[in-house]
Amino acid sequence: MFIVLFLYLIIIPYDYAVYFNKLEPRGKVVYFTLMLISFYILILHSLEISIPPLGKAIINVLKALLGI
Amino acid sequence: MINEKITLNQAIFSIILFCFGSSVIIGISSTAKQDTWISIVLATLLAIPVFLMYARMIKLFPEKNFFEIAETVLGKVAGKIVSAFMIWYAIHLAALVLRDFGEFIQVFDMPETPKLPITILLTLTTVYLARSTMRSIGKWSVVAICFVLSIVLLTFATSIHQMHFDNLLPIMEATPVQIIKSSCEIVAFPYGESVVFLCVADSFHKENSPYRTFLFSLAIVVFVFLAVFVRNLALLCTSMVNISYFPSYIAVRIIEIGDFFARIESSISSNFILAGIVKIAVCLLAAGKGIANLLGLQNNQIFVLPAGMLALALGSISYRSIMEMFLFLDYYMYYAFPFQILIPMIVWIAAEISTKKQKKRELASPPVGDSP
Repeated sequence: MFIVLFLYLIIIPYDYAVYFNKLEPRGKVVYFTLMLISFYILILHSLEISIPPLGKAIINVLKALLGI
Repeated sequence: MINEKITLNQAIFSIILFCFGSSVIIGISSTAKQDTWISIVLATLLAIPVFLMYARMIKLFPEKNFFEIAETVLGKVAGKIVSAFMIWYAIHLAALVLRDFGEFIQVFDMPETPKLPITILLTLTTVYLARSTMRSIGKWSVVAICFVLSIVLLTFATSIHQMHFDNLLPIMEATPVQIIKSSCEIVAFPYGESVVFLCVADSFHKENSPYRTFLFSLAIVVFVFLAVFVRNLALLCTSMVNISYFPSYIAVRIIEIGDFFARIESSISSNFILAGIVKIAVCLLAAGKGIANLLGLQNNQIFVLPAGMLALALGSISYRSIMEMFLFLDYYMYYAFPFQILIPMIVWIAAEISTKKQKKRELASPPVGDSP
C-alpha cells in the first residue's frame, strides 16, 4: 500500500509542476479521474481485497455472446 | 512543435519489436503442436490483407492518426465512439503485457518479490519513453533490434548441436481445423496487435510507403518466429513446449557448449524487456493521443501517465494467477477481433467512400482560372 501511496505522491506533483499550466480544465478533470480510478484499483489490490478478475469477466462475456 | 516524425527504418523496427513484445517469451500459439510452423506461415498469409488494410488507411490520410481519420470519415460522434474503443484496447493491451512481464519475472527470476514494484518500474520507464514521443521510441527500436536479433541468432546457432530436428515430425499430424485455428490465434496475437500503430500513424513520414513499412516488418517477423519456434521445438519436445508457460526461456536454459558456455537464459529476459518496452510505450502513446483527441486537446503527452497507471491497475486485476493468464490467451482472438479487424475495416471502408466522394467533387467543380 505504501508503495502505491509513495508512487502517486511523487508522480502527481511532478505532472502538476511540469504539465498542468498548459492543460485545460476538462483535461484536468479527465486526468484526475483516470488517476483516481487507477489509484483506487491499486490500493484495493495492494490491500489484498478481492476484485473480480477482468480476464475472467471478458471470457464469460465471450462465452455468453458467442457460445464458445 | 515537437518533431515526432520517424524514418522508415525506425517504423519498421518499431513494428518488429512490437510484434516480438510478449510473444518472444510466451511463445506462439501451439494448438497445432509440431505443425505450428505451418500455422505461422498461414497466419502470415492471412495477416497480409490485414496489414494492407492498415497501410491503405495511412496512405489515404497521410500524417493523420486513427482517431483523426475516424472523426473525419465517420463524423464526430461515431468517430469518438470508435476512438474510445481503440483507446480501451491500447490500454488493455499495455496492461496485458505488463502483467505478462510481472508474471515472468516472479516465476523465473524473483519469486519472493511482489509483482507490483517490478511492474511499477516498467510502467514508469515506458511512460517516460512514450512521453518522449514516437521519435524516441523509433531511435530506441533501432538500437534494441540489434540486441534482440543477435540474441535470437546466438541462441539458435549455439543450440544447433543439441537440436533434435525429428521433433518436427510427423508433419500434418494436426488436423486442418487445428492448423487454421492456430493461424487465427497467431494473427490475433501478435500480428493483429499492430493495429495500435494506426493510432500513432501521424508520426510516419508522408514520403515513406506504409505498405513497405508493414510488409517489410511482417517479412522479418515471420522468419524470426519460425527460427524461435524451430529452436524451441528442436530443443524441447512437443509435449514440453505445450506444457511450458515460457518455452523460449526453458529451451535456452538447456543450451550448453563445453563447460563454460551455459545458462544464457537471462538473454531471453533481456529480449523481453527490450521488446516489451516498445510494445507498452507504443500502446500508452496511442492511448494518450486518443484521449487528447477525444477531448479536442493538443497536448497528448500529459495523458500518457494516467493511461500508464490505468494499465498498471488493470494488469494487476486482470488475472488471479498465471494459469488464468494463459486461459485468457485461448479466448484472446475472439476478444481482439473487433479491435484488430472489425473497427479498422469499418473506418477503412468509410475512408474509401469518403475519398471517392472527395475526388468526384473535385472533378465536378469547375477549375478556378485566372481572372481577366
